[in-house]
Amino acid sequence: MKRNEPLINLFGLILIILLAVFTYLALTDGRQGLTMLSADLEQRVSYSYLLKNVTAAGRTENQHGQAEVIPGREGYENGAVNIVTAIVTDYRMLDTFGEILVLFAASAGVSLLMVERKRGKAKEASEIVKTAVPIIMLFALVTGFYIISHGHLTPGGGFPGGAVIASAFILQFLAFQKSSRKKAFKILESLAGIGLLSMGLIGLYLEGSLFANFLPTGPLGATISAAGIMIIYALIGIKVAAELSSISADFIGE
Amino acid sequence: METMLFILSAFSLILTGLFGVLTRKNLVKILLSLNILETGINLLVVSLGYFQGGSAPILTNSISAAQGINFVDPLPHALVLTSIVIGLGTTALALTLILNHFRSHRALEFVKLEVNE
Repeated sequence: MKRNEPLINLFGLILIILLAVFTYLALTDGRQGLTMLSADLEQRVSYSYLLKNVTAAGRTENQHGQAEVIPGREGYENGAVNIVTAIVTDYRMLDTFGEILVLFAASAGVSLLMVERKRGKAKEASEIVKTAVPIIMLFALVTGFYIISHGHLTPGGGFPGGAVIASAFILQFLAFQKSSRKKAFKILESLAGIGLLSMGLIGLYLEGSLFANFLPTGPLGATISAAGIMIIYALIGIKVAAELSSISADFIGE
Repeated sequence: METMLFILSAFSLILTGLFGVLTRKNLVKILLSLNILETGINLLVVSLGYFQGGSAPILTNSISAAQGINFVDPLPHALVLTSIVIGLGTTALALTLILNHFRSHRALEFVKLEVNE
């Protein structure tokens, strides 16, 4: 076994060099007219996401008949200033829903497969940690809520905000060594999942396509605007926070 | 120019991860290599949406098709956001499986199954 080790490493090296050459050739192959590197923004799908004119009804034009988007105005098909948020929570919400299902499956798998084990005697946290952790938790929770509620305006949103909130609960587990809220996390996660699915089904019923936006978008760029995106991101934030907290509670142990 | 630099670093990450997956025997090291591979793929996808001098795709001023839009492509960012979260879930699940393997075999490496004939 030991004798073959350099041979295996050499074989792996040759294989990945071959793969690198083939991938590079495929990326820069210009026989189809365009390569991935030469396509301009006008030739990509994102161009209509940026101008918010994916559907014919959402098309807004100036007097010259050209599409334009002006912050502060109402009546666009999507109310988010942050285009990545617009794609994640509106245009490609089905992808995000699948991603949430994968995260749910991972969380369920961790709690299913994590065998009960005897907890070793852990040293109790010191007085300084026990005093400081609630204060830090408060700051982390406020930051998380801020990131989630400004998801349509600034970088961030449900996933990073949920992770920040989960980090507050992980701190609590580590300092006080108890995870009594595991059941509450599961319930919260299920409720958020049901809420997301019902948002999609209401969109299907009212607008004719799954996860279609049925709430008013409001003025573009205002703090309280894009109600559908705010609700969806709040539900995603709750779900991600509950899932990450329950995964880490499983890892930290009873 | 910057795009080529991004792609070059993305490829070095991908190939480092692939080399680790192909040649290591320790399960935790294989998982780490998979994570490095995933980071490289994320960087590759983001770099394919990069335009020189493009700004972050957040509307602060009005844009119109006539003036030309100076944003980077937002679609790869959304895809990578999805990919990062899925990577987190799969890593947690894989760590659980490795933990179970360690508890039953007392080894972090692939063990040869001994079949009683």
